[in-house]
Amino acid sequence: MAKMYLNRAIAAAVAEEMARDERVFLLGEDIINCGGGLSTYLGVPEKFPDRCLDMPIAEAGYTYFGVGAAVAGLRPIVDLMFSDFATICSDAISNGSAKVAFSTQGKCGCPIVFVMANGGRGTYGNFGSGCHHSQCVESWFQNVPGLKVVAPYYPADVKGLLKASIRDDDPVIFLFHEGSTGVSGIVPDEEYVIPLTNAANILQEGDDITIVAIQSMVPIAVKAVETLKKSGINAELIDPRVLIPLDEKKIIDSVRKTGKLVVVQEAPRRGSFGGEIVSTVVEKLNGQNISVKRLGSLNAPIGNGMVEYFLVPKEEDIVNAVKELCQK
Amino acid sequence: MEYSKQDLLDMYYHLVNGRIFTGKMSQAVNDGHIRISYHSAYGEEATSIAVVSALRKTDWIVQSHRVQPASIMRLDPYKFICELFGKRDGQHFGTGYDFHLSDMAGDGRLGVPMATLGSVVPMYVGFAWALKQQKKDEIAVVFQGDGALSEGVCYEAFNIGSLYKVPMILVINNNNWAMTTPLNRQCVNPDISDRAKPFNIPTQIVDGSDLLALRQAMDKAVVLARNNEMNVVEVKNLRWDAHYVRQNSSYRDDMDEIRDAMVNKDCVKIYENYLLKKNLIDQEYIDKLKKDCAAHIDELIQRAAACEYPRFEDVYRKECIYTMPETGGDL
Ligand SMILES: Cc1ncc(C[n+]2csc(CCOP(=O)(O)OP(=O)(O)O)c2C)c(N)n1
Ligand SMILES: [Mg+2]
Repeated sequence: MAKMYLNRAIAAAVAEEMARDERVFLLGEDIINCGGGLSTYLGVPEKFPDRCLDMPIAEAGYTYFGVGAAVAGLRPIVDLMFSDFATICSDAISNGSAKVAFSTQGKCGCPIVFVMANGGRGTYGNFGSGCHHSQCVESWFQNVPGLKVVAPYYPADVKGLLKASIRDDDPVIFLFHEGSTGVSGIVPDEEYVIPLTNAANILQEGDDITIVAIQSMVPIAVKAVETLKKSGINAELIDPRVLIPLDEKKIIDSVRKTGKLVVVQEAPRRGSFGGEIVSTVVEKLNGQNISVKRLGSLNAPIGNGMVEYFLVPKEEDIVNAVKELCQK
Repeated sequence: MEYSKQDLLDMYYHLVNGRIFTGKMSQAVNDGHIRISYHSAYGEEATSIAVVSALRKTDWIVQSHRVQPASIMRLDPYKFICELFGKRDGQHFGTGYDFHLSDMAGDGRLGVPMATLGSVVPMYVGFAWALKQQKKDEIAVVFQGDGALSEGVCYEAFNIGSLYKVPMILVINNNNWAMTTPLNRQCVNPDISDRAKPFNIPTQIVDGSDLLALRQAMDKAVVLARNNEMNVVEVKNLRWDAHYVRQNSSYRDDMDEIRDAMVNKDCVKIYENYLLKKNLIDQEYIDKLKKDCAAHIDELIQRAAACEYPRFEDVYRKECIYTMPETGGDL
């Protein structure tokens, strides 16, 4: 067990999968000289020079290049730097990769992973880089049947889930958190894969209320849970890690027990994946008396610098939301 | 074309000021005042100066992330520095940095830029068409780099722009690098403007170290654009700095070329020598100008450093998110 930075966990997962399966290859901007635009593949191009492709700044073109290669039998990992740039190649992702299985009536899959940095550097109070480098995109893709969406926070989860995403036969949007590439965590030495199914992690057990925290909000929710303990509230904290396929069972079982649910995410609240979690729970527990609350960023574009932090949910927002529901 | 003495000296002032500004902003990164990647225009300043000097004040420019010397010709430099520092006195309360900074309502006439590369090319084909449609005698000039020109939308824009005859100039700042990737790993033909030719778009290639040549090319481009002929000016530059200030540049294999360019292809020195030969300036003039520019920028930096950060209510006003805030829902 060693401490590993999140960007190194990504590089390790990719290198291991490339060694295991010759069909896996990596493409994106700045791969050779920089290990990718955000240096998430350091060392990989040296190990696999024939399977690391530098691409011109042409996301629409090279993402389709990946989709084509996947249809032809290879297993591309497409790096897109910031998730905001996924708009540029959303045709390749949403109309291309997501429809291959259906358009071949199941005869052909599209085993491709789109890796991108989700969210902002301003999440934890650092200087952020504004409205084209900081957005969360999980909810943009959740409504496209055919796609899977993976959004872990801790380096160990990133590594194990990225390996599973590369082995998956369907297109996977793999999101790591932009503001956390410098976060380190314990990563097991031995090889491991975390399946995309039943992936939710119960980080803290509790009977009073359920908190579901998505990606960047996990460490903030961990702190909130500690603070709440001091007020005598025992919250159950769940990190779903994978959004599609969502581990509904663990979340529903938890809310059945607690009767209360707070979801917290960095994405803007309106139209968010957190809303999808709430709907799922409410629908499954129809007739039961449960109370819910969605937390998310304010409904505003993200400014550069200090002001990004104004928008995102903070520990006190979680604490207040929990207390509000617990008082009812 | 002959330029007046005043015109030549104005360009010299902006060139020197742009160079000093560029150096001071690199220092501001080191001093911790700038905390977002700063893409230095070091060595490429003449491109900015030639473009803006060739335009009327009523014409529009759309900045990229590496033309700050152009931006400070159009915007109050104090407000611009505050943007870079993320401070409240900035043009956008310090939330625009440089790649989200515009001046649509004021005198600066900076169009709305995009941090997603390439996107401004089609966007300003439409903008320029709308200028023409509204019978405004104005043109739009868009800056983009060699790397950005790999985006497919640029070529859709060439097609639409030549079809609809729009008053626009695309200035391609070809500095041989996109982040850490050299041009020869991005495309096979290093003359990027060649890609406009199949659309019957006039193109020019100019040496970015020669301010006068740049200005002459821009003057030609402006005449074309005023006649609704979209055209392209490709500037051959060399990126002297790393992609952003303080980036580890061990990937660079052209350090000899850069050292040589700093001596023999420095746009400031070349233009200075030209003016000296023409007896328009002397050493005393040069020294004084450089000293004055440096002192002025230092003073602005001090003021910006002392300025406070923006407040929530400065920035996230409902009318800045929806122009019709009553219909945009809750914040
Ligand atoms: C659509 C998109 N893809 C990638 C990026 C990340 N990016 C920012 S600057 C840059 C390199 C740009 O190179 P070039 O256009 O040559 O401009 P230069 O930096 O050399 O001035 C890249 C890839 C981006 N901003 N937008
Ligand atoms: Mg370039």
